[in-house]
Amino acid sequence: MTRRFKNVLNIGFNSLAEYLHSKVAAFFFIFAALLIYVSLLLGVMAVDQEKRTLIDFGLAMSELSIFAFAIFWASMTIQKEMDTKTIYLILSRPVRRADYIAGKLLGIYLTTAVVYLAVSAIHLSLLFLKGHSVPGIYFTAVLFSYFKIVIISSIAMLITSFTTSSFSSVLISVMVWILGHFTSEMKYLLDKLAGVKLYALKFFLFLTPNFQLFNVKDVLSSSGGDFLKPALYFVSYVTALYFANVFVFRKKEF
Amino acid sequence: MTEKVLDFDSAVKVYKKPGFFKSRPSPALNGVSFSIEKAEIVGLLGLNGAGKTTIIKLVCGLIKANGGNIKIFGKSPDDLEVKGRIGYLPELPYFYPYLSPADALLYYGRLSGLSPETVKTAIPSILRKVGLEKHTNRRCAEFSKGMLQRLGIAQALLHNPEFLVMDEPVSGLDPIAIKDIRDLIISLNSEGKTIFLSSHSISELEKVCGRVIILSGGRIHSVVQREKWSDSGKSLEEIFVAAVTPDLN
Repeated sequence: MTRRFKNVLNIGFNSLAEYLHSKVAAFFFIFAALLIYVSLLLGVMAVDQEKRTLIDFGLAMSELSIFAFAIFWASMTIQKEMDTKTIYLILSRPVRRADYIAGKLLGIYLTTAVVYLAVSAIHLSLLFLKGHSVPGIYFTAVLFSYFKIVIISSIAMLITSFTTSSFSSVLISVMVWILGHFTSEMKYLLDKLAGVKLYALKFFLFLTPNFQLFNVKDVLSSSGGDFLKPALYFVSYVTALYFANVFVFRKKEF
Repeated sequence: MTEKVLDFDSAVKVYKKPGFFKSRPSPALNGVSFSIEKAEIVGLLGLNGAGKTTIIKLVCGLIKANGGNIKIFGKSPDDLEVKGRIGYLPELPYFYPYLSPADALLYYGRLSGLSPETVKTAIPSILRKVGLEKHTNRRCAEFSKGMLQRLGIAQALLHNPEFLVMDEPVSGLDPIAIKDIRDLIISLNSEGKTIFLSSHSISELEKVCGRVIILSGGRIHSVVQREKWSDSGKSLEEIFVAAVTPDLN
């Protein structure tokens, strides 16, 4: 294992430990559990559609709570290390800034994965307790939802790097999240535009993540279950975001 | 011929202060030149905003100079090999509150390129050296300011650096802790380590330094040798006050 890779893992697992020791992680976990419980109540009200409601609403609530947790942590993580000067003790050592960023991103990805697994375990337990079987696509849906979380947390960290304010980073990330779910509507708007507006929106659309690609039901209905495209899109987008984060952070002063 | 550990040649640093439409330049250092040789203890003295922390951050590669040239062991401060030869104590160091001192040292030791086994072997002696051997099982959250400062020194010494950079090492400490840290600095220097420290405590610099650089308004006002305050009957405080008084008026 190379020295650089060891540094990334070291920073990443330290970040995971930090998050898991914080009260915020517990708060979001309880929040997610409550939302899933609400889906249980809604399922009961749906009578003959209980299983579908419980699965769909539970998945949506899990994603929403993990999304809130991810953008909050991604926006806070480096800012907190700057405020406490912990970053001084790291970057004054033989650690490349690119490796520090990779480590912090790994820490967020690991943390959201752990929280997602725990929340999904609660959701699955409720489904089993109610005597419902879980369709195989459930796990693909969770994985694809996690891909969206990975993308939005990388975006939140990037925004924090140049806004220097956690609040504005959270706000912009929420906007990107919403826009990312309306890319087909934005594409429709392209047909109505011309000139500079058209190119501006095209460029904006190019930068905005297309979260609709990760809607499992759409993938199944439109491309017959070809998951390669969204998977490739995920890898390319996250790689590009990593390099963007490194580029911005390279020039940052503390 | 003595080895140059640190060499500042006309270093310039201008910060950018964010404004509404565009950032405003805020000069911090203006053509600072000095050098430090192996096994010296050199102090940095100046009023608030004189540029002490800026110099220390430039040495540690946390910020970049806008002009001039800075060399550490003949190389750039960004060089990873150079960073491995430096131990840095920031002002008021912070440690993750849930970690024990041993865990904190393990984390930073590994980032310094040491193997976990080497760090684990070094931890008991380093904690003894800074007087924290009785607190190995406590969490950093329970530590006092003085204990955190001692742990800060421990992390700076862990990888056995040749060059120690300390920003306000005795800031806010009780007299016993100040004496312990002073003794430690002298003992480290006797082992051949080069020490560069900034402090507001003139009496501490007077006791440990061979040379003191007086900064004023981002420039070096004067470099005072130990003989000047030990032989001339003038204290370092008097020399410093005389140096910075024109700036205050």
